[in-house]
Amino acid sequence: MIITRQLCQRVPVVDGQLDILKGINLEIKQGESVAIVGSSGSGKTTLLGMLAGLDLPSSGEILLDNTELTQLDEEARAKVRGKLVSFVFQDFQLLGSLTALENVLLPLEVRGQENVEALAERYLERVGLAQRHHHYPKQLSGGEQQRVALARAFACEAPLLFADEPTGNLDTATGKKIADLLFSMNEEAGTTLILVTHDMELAKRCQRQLVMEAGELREI
Amino acid sequence: MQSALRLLWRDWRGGELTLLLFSLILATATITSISLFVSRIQNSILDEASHFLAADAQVRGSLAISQEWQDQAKTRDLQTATALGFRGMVFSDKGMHLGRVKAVTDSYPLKGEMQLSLQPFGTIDEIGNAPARGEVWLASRLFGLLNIEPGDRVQLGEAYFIASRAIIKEPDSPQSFFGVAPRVIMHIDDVESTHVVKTGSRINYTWMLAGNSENIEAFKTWIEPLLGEHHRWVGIKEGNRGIEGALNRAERFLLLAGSLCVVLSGLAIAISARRYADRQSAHVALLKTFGLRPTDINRLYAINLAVLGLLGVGFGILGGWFLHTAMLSIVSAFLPKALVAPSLSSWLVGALSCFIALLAFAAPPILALRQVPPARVLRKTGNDTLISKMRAGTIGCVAVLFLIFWYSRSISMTVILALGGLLCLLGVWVFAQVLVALSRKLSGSLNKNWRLGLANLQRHKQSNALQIVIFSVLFMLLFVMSIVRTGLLAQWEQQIPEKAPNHFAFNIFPNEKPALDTLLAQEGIERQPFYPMVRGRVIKINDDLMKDRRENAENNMNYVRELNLTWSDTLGSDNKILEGNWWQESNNEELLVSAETEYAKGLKLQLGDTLVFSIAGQEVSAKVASFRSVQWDSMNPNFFMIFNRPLLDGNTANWLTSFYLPGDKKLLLNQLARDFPTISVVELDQMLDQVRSIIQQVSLGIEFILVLILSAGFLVLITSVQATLDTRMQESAILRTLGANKKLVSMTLVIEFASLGFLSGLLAVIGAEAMLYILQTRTFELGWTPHFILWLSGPVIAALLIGLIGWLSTKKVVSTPPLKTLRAY
Ligand SMILES: Nc1ncnc2c1ncn2[C@@H]1O[C@H](COP(=O)(O)OP(=O)(O)OP(=O)(O)O)[C@@H](O)[C@H]1O
Ligand SMILES: [Mg+2]
Repeated sequence: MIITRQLCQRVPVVDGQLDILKGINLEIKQGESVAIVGSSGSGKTTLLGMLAGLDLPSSGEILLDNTELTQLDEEARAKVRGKLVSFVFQDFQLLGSLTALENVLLPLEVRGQENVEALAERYLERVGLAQRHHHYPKQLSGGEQQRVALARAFACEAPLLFADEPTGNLDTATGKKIADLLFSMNEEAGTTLILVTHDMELAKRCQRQLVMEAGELREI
Repeated sequence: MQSALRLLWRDWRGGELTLLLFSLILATATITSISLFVSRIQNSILDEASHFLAADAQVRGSLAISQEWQDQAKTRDLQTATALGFRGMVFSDKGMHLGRVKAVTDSYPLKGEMQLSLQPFGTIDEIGNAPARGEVWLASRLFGLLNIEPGDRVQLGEAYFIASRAIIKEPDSPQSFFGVAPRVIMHIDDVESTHVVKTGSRINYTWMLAGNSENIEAFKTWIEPLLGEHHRWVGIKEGNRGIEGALNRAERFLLLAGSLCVVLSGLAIAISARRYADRQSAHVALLKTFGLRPTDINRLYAINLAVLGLLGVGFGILGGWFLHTAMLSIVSAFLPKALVAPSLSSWLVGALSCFIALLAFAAPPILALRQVPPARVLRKTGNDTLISKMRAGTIGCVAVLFLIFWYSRSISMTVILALGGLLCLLGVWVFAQVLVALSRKLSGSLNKNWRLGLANLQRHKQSNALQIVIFSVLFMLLFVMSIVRTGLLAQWEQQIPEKAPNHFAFNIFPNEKPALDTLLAQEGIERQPFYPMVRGRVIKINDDLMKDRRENAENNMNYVRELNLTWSDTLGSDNKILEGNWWQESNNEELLVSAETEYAKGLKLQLGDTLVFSIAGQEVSAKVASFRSVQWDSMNPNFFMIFNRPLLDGNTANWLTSFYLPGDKKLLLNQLARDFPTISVVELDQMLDQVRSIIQQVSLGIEFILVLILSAGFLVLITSVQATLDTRMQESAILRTLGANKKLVSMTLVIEFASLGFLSGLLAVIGAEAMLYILQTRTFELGWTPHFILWLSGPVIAALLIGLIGWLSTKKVVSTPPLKTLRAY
């Protein structure tokens, strides 16, 4: 599903160059769940952004479902994202001016799918927010907001799900509930999951665990 | 498309677009209301001014108007009237007097009113057009001179007429003060029966035209090349020397005001669009992760802008209409009853400015949103705004200049504003950097509040420098406007003082002076000094005959008529020597003359030329000693030629004086006409009142526009303070979670804003003074002196104002619980 070859990311900083990624080679199969762990600043988020086609590497190749991302321009990459990818973020990234339901609807509408209302409602029910359709993010707790984000991610029914520290902003108990929900929904949908986290417990629930260390990736 | 509209609708609902839409509507509304107001006031003023011509324009000449011209005017939808002017003796059974006859068609007057009375100097009993055939209307004083009553018979040439009415006011009464025989008005079809007018006799033809201004302008363009030497075009301004200056300056002020309004609205729109774009970038990044392509984003926001534009124009024009009716209803007491409709173009000005502003100010930052990197969802990148300030500024400036030019149609105004603006921006920027840095140095020696406030100022250096630029440009414009306005109003007041002489008496023989004085003194009327006056012509310039010089004259001055000549030791206060010297009293052996500059220019006179005059049949030669400029609209007696000593033996002269006669003493003129039958009196009171009322209207218009501009300025202040509110909200929330109390936080904010205001005020004063110097000396001809009060009050006013606005709009910042703020982010 995802293959990278010699993925490097180098950014200019005040005193010279900073190598964030130093030749990452990675292969992730369809339906796999993969956790990426590592200390803060090691380059996990950077890698995630590359794999999802949000950013381009300085060198190397990324194959997403047999499509070479580095050869594409932003227009084409956006198309690929629309077809293949969905996200869950640490800070939820819900739009404050939209209700819970509308937040879930947003990517579906953007992708031009039709009659999506019922679908979105079903996913909100699945995450246990049947009664909160018309509430705005401000009226929801952090855990509830992340549930809406989960509903939004799975409602897209995209084959790839990227999650960047989905429990990072939540307390342990709430985090555990969100993680349970994430894994069970992932199982139901058969999605390929790439999960970035600090939490080893969470990482262990994935089929594979990778460690990011000083811009290099290795399996544990 | 559908999903785009749905997104748009949600944005609206969330209130994201409110501020931007509001600035857009306000911009359109103010510009529309100003241009509607100006257009209507201006049309009405011009309409009123047209009463001086009894038409919108005239073609004057010594030949009749050809049928071809008449037909052209008809096809161009213009109304016409014709007046024939000539001099003729009027006889009654008991006397005779030279009359200045005007024979008019039934359509006369096209503009203004012909006011008639049943009694000489009586009340207005009737408004008329042309006398019926067989009747004439006479100037009030002519009844006295001819010793007749209304209804008596008079003879003109070979025909008899009933003198049925006394003329109280004729709309196009002459504005020159001299040589005015009393008026006789008759029907044009009666002229033939008098046999007074024969080929070769001197007749003036006045062809009057009225219609909408576009048609008049088009006709003017058509006819001007055809006029030749026998005809000339007289438009409203040419026909109104007395108010020409006032009208011109008012027009320039209104254009300046409109241009400033454009600048201010542009600023407001730019600021709120930028703020909107900043807030949207997170949104866009998220949409991109959902698979929206840059082209989709572009389309989305283009639709957004289009809807904004339509709403802005729609509501803006509507608002502009209401605003302008509100303004009109307040000034209605001073306006003529029936206001002239606004021109079509004044509707378009607002709408077009709105679209251009949207394209130039709102579109660049908003359309740049397509460049937001999708990776922003993972890491908030530093510079959210993707279009550089430099580039946005350049686009904005070009648009503003275009709008100003389009609005004012004046290259010089555009250039002055552009240069002024550019210089000030530059200076302000440098100054802002220096001052902000300085304030950091200072802050060490201050108390906690001040230290925190100034630290804030320092921390937001980049955005504060930009704000200082905006504030100071804003204050600069406002200061300039208020000061120019005050200067203009004062000057107008001065132009026609309350008790300016409104009657001129001339043809006074030296031996009549004491008796006239007694009569005036009895009635408690003060007169101005007596001026000597003789009539004469220039017949030779050096060795050239006047006839030859005249034919090569480059201006359209009337060199044929007799000149009024005078002599004096002192130069009138409204005269200025441009070349040569005014004579000293002692130096009066040689006969010297000072010539009016325009008159001299046409004849190509040089200093030292010898002019030969023909005066009362004798030749007198004098050397040109100086050229003078004369302020003809000062309502003082002024002369083309002034000599240094009495001409001939001094006894051939008549004397001239002027005095102020209040309305309730008009009947004195009857007695004057009886006691001094040879003295001519010209009544200018009606005209002066009219000029005064026009100036009053213009002044009021200007006051209102100033108020409008001030409100637009406030809007900009508020939007630009609002624009930085997001960061301040967050910071103060953090400060408060760190333990700062409400009072400290709010004091800090007030100090920060007030210091910003003070700096901006100081810079604004500097810029304003520079701009005032150019505007007052060049554009408005008001003269310039330093404005000390401005230097003192400007910075203080600015500090108070910005401090207040800052305090009011950040009250929310302070009173919002910190948790709520932090949670929203
Ligand atoms: N565009 C950039 N310019 C400069 N430095 C960057 C850029 N992007 C990332 N970095 C740096 O690269 C390093 C890796 O960042 P990244 O966000 O990938 O780390 P992370 O492993 O996700 O850390 P955390 O666990 O704290 O989220 C950091 O030191 C970051 O400051
Ligand atoms: Mg990270």
